[in-house]
Amino acid sequence: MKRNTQVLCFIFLAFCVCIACRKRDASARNEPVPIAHAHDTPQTDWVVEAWRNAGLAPEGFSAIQPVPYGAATCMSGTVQGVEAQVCEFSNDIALDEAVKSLRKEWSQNAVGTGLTLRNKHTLLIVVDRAHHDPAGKVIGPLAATFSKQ
Amino acid sequence: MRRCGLCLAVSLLVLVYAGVARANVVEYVSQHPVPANVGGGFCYINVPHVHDYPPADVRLYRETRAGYYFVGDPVPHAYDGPRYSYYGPHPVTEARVEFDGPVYCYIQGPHFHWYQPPARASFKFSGGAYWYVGTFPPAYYQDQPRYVGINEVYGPMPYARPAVDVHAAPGGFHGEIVVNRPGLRTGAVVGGSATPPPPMPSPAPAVQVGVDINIGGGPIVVEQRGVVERRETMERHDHHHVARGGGPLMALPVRRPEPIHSAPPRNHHPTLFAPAHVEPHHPGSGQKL
Repeated sequence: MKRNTQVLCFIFLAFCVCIACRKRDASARNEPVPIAHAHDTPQTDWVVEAWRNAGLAPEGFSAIQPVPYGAATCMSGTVQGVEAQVCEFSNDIALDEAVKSLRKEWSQNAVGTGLTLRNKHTLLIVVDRAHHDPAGKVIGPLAATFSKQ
Repeated sequence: MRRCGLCLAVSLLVLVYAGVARANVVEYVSQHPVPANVGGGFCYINVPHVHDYPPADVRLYRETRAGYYFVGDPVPHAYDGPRYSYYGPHPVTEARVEFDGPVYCYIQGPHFHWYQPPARASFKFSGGAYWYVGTFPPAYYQDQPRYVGINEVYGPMPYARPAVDVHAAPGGFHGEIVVNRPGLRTGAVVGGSATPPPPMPSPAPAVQVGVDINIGGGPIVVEQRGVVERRETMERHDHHHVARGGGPLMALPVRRPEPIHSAPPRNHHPTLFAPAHVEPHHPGSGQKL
């Protein structure tokens, strides 16, 4: 009886190790992590697509892991040299906290131009550290297109 | 003494470090000029945003809770976007921006803004510009000394202002009539693309003022202008010959019972005639100011 229990425990442990290894392999292969979109708010991929349709040429947009700012999901990339992030939040409180922490960060680390803009529970964050767009000719349309979603 | 010097040096280092650690973040809530020392030009971001530089001249801004709002004329700051002609002071009616209270533009004479007054606001489109014909509340006069300095910025600035026929000033306009100095250019086009048709009741397609000035039909350039001011009990004649070139503005010496800015305005304004020589200006040939 005692021996049977030991065998069962061994099998269970081996099973757990196998599962853990498989998960680790999956993350090592950079398999796409399923995106958990927030409800009733513009989705990150819709926003990027809208920018593309508006001729803004977004580049390298992909989901950020781990998801920052307590958001449900975030995507980041660049648009004509300007860094942009789009995040979906599950509620206003989380979104407000994210904006606060960003503003705090910007007050400590200079950004040439910075912008946070919300549309329902989706937040657009734009940072132009290298002054690629001093006249806002990219950032302005980015914000306008985002607001229309 | 030596110890004191050491303390001072340490304090200075701490201060310098604190200055470095705290980045310069300045909030703006509208489009605005970019100061020359950071490259110049115009920033077209029309939603709240931050930069790492302050405004070059705070007289051109209102400080709101959310940041600086640009109240000046954007055109001399390399602005190249939609523009609407105004004449004289008026409330700022940009619907997109929320202010804590009413905000006024104190620019005298003809100038541009990027926003069009809403149809329900007390503006009249006449002589090529929007004129505020509503009543200013006491707050306008209280804040005037603080904000009227904006004219010191734009007055001497050479740029093409909207050409406005001051003789078409609507009844109810309470500001000063301002014309260019002799030998300097008034501006350019009346009724061109720079001033899209207003949504409110607009003047007839073509209005004849005086002898030979045309307003509202096709765009025209005012080349030379004579101004006659006629009052109920007195009559005086001022002649201004306006040629090409940009330049400062001066107020037409309109005689009033008391200074216009010292008290709430009265519904009394001079009748003006404008015998002027005008040249037709064809669309597409120099509408860009």
